This record gives sequence, C-alpha cells and structure tokens, in this order.
Amino acid sequence: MRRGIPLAITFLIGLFMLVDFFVPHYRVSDLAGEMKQWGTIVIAASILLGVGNLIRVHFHKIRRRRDGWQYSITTLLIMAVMFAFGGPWGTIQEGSAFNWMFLNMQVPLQSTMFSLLAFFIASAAYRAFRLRSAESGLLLTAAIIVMLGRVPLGQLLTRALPEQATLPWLTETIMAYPNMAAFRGILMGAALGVMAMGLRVILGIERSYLGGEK
Amino acid sequence: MTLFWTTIGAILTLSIYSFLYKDNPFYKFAEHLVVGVSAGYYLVIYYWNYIDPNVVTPVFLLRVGADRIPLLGMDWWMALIPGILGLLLYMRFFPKVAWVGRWPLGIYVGGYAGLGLSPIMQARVITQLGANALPLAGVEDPFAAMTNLVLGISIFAVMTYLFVAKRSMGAGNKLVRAGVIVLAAVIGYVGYLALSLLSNAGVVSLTNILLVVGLLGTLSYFFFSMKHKGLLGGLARVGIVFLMVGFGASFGYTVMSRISLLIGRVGFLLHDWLHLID
Amino acid sequence: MKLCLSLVVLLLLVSAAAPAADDAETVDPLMSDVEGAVQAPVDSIPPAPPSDLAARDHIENTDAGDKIALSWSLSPDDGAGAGDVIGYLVLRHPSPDAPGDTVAVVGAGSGRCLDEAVEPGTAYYYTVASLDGANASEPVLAGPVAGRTNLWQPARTSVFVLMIVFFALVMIFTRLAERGAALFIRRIPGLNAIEEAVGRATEMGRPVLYVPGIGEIDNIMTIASLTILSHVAKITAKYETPLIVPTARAVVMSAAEEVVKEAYAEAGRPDAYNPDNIRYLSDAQFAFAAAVNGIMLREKPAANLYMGAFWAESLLLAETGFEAGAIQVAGTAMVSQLPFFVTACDFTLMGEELYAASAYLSREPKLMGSLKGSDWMKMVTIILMGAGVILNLMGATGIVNWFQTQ
Repeated sequence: MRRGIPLAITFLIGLFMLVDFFVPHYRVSDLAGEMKQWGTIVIAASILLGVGNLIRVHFHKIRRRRDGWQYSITTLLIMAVMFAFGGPWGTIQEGSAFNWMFLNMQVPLQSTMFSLLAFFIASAAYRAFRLRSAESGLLLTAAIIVMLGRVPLGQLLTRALPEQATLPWLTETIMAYPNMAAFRGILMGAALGVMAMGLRVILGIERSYLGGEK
Repeated sequence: MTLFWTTIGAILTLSIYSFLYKDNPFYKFAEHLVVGVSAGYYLVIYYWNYIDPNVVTPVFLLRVGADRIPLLGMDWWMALIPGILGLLLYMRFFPKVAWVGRWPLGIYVGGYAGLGLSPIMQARVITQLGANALPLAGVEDPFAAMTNLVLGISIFAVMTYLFVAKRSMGAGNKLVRAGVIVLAAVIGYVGYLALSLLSNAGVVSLTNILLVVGLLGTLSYFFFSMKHKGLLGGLARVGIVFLMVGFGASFGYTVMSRISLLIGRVGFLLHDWLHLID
Repeated sequence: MKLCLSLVVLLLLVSAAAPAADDAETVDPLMSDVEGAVQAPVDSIPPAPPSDLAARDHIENTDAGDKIALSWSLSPDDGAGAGDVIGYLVLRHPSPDAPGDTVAVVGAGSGRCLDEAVEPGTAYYYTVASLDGANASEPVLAGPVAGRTNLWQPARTSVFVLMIVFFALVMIFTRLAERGAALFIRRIPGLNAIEEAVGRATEMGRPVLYVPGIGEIDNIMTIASLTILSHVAKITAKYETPLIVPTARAVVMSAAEEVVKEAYAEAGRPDAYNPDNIRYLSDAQFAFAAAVNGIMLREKPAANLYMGAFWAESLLLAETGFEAGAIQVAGTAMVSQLPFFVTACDFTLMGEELYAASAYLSREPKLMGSLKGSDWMKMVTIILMGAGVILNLMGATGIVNWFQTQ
C-alpha cells in the first residue's frame, strides 16, 4: 500500500507522458506541459531540503570543532547574508547587493574553477603519454593529431604536404568519421540502456530511488 | 566601488588558482564562500522564479502569473497541486507520514521517465540510423565502388585479426600491439591516399564504410548477454579501436576551448583588475 | 514663416513623388538583365492554372486543429511556357460558390501554402489561381476540408513501431528470466573494480567517496547511479567503512539518504549510518566541484566512485582524485566527458555499461531479462542499418525516409 501508491502514480504518469509523444491533440500536450511545470516546482521546492542538510552538516562541524570548522562559519554566514539581501526582494535588480555578490563572488569563483580545467587537461594529457595499453596509444595519437590540427602550429607543420596529409585535414576526417561512428555507437547503446531503465522505472521494477521499504 | 568588487573578484580568482600548488587556507576560504553564496542564491532564485509565480501568487492572490498561459481555463486551484506536492517532500521529517513523501518523487521520476522514452528512441536511435544507413559505395562508379569495398573490408579484416590475435603476440607486449595498430592505420591511410588519386566516389564510399563499420563495432561492444568471442568478439575489438580514437579526438578537440577559458580569466586579472593590458 | 512651411511641404511632396516618376521610366533591372525574353511581358492572355490542388488537415506535434496545408503543381507558365507567372492567389471559401477570403499570395515557383487561421472542425473550400502581371487564371478548387485536432501523429509512427518492438523484447525476456531461463552476462571490469576499490579503502582505514553526478533525479543516469550506490553502501556497511556521498541536487541528496540508510539496515548495521556523510553541497556546478575537491584533499578517501551524469566538472574531480592517490572508478553515458574519465580514472563504465550495472550487480532475473531485451534491440538496429545500407546501395531510399521523423 505505502509502496503501492507511489508506484501506481509513477506508472500512470509515466504512461501518460509516453503517450503524449504520439498524440498531437493540444489538450494532451497542454496537460503534459502543465505536469512538466509541476516537476520544476517540486524541484524548486526541494531546495530547502538541500540547504537544510548543508546547515546541519556545517553546524555539526562547528559544534564538534572538527578540522576546518572556522570555514564552516564562512559558509553559513555568507549564505545568511546572501539570503538577507535577496530574500525579501527577489528579482535580480541591477546594482542590488544581491546582484553584486552574485556577479563578484559566485561568477568569478565558478569561472575560475572552470578555467582550472586548462591545467588539468594538460596534466591528464601528459598522463596519457605513459602508454598504459595499446588502446590508450590510439587515444593519444588521435588526441595529438586533433589538438595540433586545430591550432595554427599544426597548419604550419604540414604546410608543404599534399592536402590529404595535412593535420587540419586529418583532424576533420577523424572528427567526421571514426569519431562520429564511435559517438553514434555510444549514443545508441546508451539510448537503449536509458529506455530499458525508464521502462523498468515506469513498471516499478527499478525503484531504488524511492528508498526504504518501511 | 567597482574597484572594490573587482578586487574581491580578483582575490577570489587567485585563491582558487592557489589550489594548483596545494590545498591552503585561501582555497578553503574561497571554496566555503562559493558554497555559501550559491546556497543563498538558489534559495532566493528558486523561490522567486518558480514558487512565487506558479504557486504563491495564484493561490494567495487568486490570479495566474502574467507569463503563464492558463490551462483548460485554469483556475488558481490548479496551482495548489504542485504546491502540495512540494510540501509533501517535507513529510519525510514526520516518521508517521514519511511514506507520503515519496509521492512527489513518484510523479516526478515517472513523468520524466515516460517523457524521455520516445524522444530518445527518435533522436538517438532512429535519426542516427537514418544518418548511418549510407550507401557503402559510390553508385555511379561501379568499378571504383567494388575496389573500395574490397579494400575497405580487407583493411578492417586485417585490423580485426591483429587486434583479436593479441594472444599470439604476447598479451603483455603493449608496445608491439600498439605498433601493429599504428601500422594497420598507416596501411589503411596509404590505401586511402592511393584511392583518392583514382576517383572521388571512392573516397566517399570509404568514409561511409568507416562510419558503418565503426558503428557496427561500437554497438557490438555493448552486447552484454553474449560472450565476446568469435565474430562478436572481433567486432567488439574493432569497436574499442573506434571508441579510443573517438575519445582521443574529442579530448584533443576540447583542449583549445579549455585554454581559452584560462585566457579569459587571466584577461580579467590583467585587464579588468590591474588595467595592465587593453 | 508661412513661406518656410509651404516650402517644406513642397519639398516633401516632390521627394515623395520622385520614386514614382523613376518607376515609370525605368525597367526593373532584375527583370531586364535576365537572359532572353523573361521580361514578364504584360499581355492579355491569362496564365495556365495550377493543377493537382490538394488541401489536407495539417498535423503538428501540438495540434489545435487550426491549420490546413495546401499543395499544388505549378502552372505550366511558371518558369516555363509563357513564363509570366508571378505568383498564386490562395483563397478560402465557406462553400464552393461563395466568395473567398485571401489566405496568401504565394510567390512563383512554390506550390505550398499553410493556412494557419481556420476554425477547427469547420469545412472549407480552397481555390488557387495563378497570376501574371495583369490577369489571373481560372481558379482550381479543392475541398471540403476541415482542420481537426488529431489523436495521432503519423510522422512518429516509426518511433512507435520501434518502441513496441523494444518493449515486447524487454517484456519477453523479462518473463523468460522470471521463469528461470539461465541468462549470461559478460564481465564488466569497471564493476568488479568497485568492490576492489572499497576493499582497499577498508584496508587503509579511509573513507569511500561516491559522487552520483550532478544530474537531477529525472535523469536516468542518476537513477542508475542510485542503484549502484545501494550496492556500494551494502559493502561499506559490511566493512564499516565510511561512505561520503556529496550531491548537487537536493532531491538526489534525499533519495541517496534513503538508499544508503536502507542498505545499512539491510546489512544489519543501521547504527553505522552517518547522516552527516550524505551531503548537499551546491546546485552550482563549479561550487560543487570545488567542494568535492576539498573533501578529496581533506577527508582523503581511498576510493573515488563517480557514477552518473557529469559535465565539465568531470576532469576537475578525476584529476584531483588522481593527484590525491585514490583508486578511481567512473561511469557515465555523457559522451563528451568519457574521454576525461578514461584518461584520469583506473576504470570507466562507458555508456550503456552504467545502465547494465544494476543487472550485473544484483543478478536479479527481471533485470537480466531486460538487459537481454536491449541486446536484441541492438540486433534489430544493426539489421535495420544493414537493410538501409543495402537498399540505399540499390538506389531505394524508402527505408531512409522511414527514419525521417518529426
């Protein structure tokens, strides 16, 4: 019963959404669209669950004076400040403190983290040099060709050769054919995996996401 | 004021970069800061962008938000449904009714599972099939078509054989195997060059063979319920070759875009903050 | 003052009239430059009418029944013959004899028109006449036709057929498996490695880090990941190894809590479950990555498992984990991130392997059956591709058209 109701709900809603794809009637599409919106709202409403967890974890850390508890104060404090600036007013206004904090703290921090990838991709490439297997040799060769083929250096290096031996040409060919074939293969295989799993979810065979039995 | 905030942004940027050296108080501070800022940010944004216009405004002010199209002459009470679903999530804190908290999850997961199935079949299977059901040979030039078909198949046969027969040359000797694969690729490439001198249709058919064989191989690799021996084993090995080349290619393809991100941040430090460059 | 005003008015009048005067004296340069006699001579002979006018209900993916699609074959004088057709006049009539409303004037060379403003369920007639500079042809008539709100999208029938085939295969093999048919499943090295990794963390007395990706719970990769998490949690519960699960989505966090709690209870160690180890970090992608990196360096997990949907943060996590010396096993179906996991992790579950994991780990007949069903579907796609290749080689493109959907 307690397990049955959510599974029945999952089945009915899943089936309706499945059918929606084939039935163009606007009322069906509209209702499906409405339900999608419900989903977004449920997710938005869940944020408090997450923030509650965050507060609890950091609060415990501070109370038990675990390593780095001082930093946890930063997290909680700045969150409270951000909330106080934005909570009562909401919409992002040009020049509001909320907006300034977003633009000058969250945005630069996030884009800097993102840009760390430039270093990490280099160290990962370096690691691939240590030929772990024949397969990684293939990976490395293709990576080097494509990397060089996309920069001016690659063009310079092979300028004297006939067109079909130049790095840019090789790059294009590798991207358009072997890469495309592998990409499609993964995509199709994964698509079947997703569909089988989705079907199992709708039929209630896969239900780990619902958690405990009791 | 702008300088103040830019300086904060710059200090935070440098704090994150200090992570490259090792974990340190600056990084720890920046990390905890961004977690706190983003938690506060999403709390505010999710409420004002989703909950307020779709639930609170319709229910308490009895009107549908301006940007929302009413459904079936939707009244304010329709907005109650997602509101209640959202509240049900929090029933998990009350042990007696915790089980009700699974309903919104059921709706959400079931709904999106159903929603996803058919578009996935459409976009990732059928459309890809359509794009890959290519004529293996240039139809207008039967002679070139035949030679290419033979050449293409034999190149793949050689590659498959070499890859399958790794036992015969010692599984431990990676270098030899790598060399053999490179050799096969070079042979294929030389054959390709020779072919392209002969006819243009031949080139098209060879690239089509690459696509078809590559997809066949990759799909074979993903067979789980059969032993990878014999033909399937060979095809799966061809699949691995394609997978690795594909991974390498997309790896190489991404490098430059990641470096440009770094250039962007350095530009922020030198231009926006220090005004050292224009 | 008055003079000034009248001067302005005069100037305005002159400037307004000037282009008209130009028109009268010069020939449209586009027309005069075209080779031969394509000058669209203004004659008194009406052009030949178009033919084969067809009016059909237009089916859209969201169909309100308010559109009708028209198509016709071009007039013989359009681009050939007298060559003077400049367009087609499309009219909508409530009855064949009643006067019509103009729907559109379609340019020469096109034989299509979409009437987007019909009353659903009302029957209409359409006429199309070809126009030259001066005359109109006899109109051709089609109808009656009514816009309907349809219950079926024919452009998606091929999707439907393959869905049915797929569902049937999965159901058949699931049923067979339940009846006890022995099903084989190939070795998936990455999944075997998970147990080894957890074992090593236990030996070293260090925690296990399990990142379920940053996908929302509606992402099937996340669901697959939660299934694997349940398996991992059972092992860590048995060994009493701490299991840290950082998440980027609140709902995923709460589902992970349930999954881990249940796994600990099942393993008979409900007391070993530490709620502070299932953490929501941040919805923001790189804030999440920064915080997970912090966990790796400070709590020093010996095994990092990345399973689920990852975007650009994949390499940030995997490289940091590598530097920290952890055993790393990744699994994702995100094609764009696979290369990075493959280079930085010890084992990687690629694409469908992630979805096969629940069957592989549990060996539950139902799941094995559905896996077998997917394999057969792969066979079907390979056969379809082969058929497409062969038919295409013979010049028949029907099957390729069947793959075109909307």
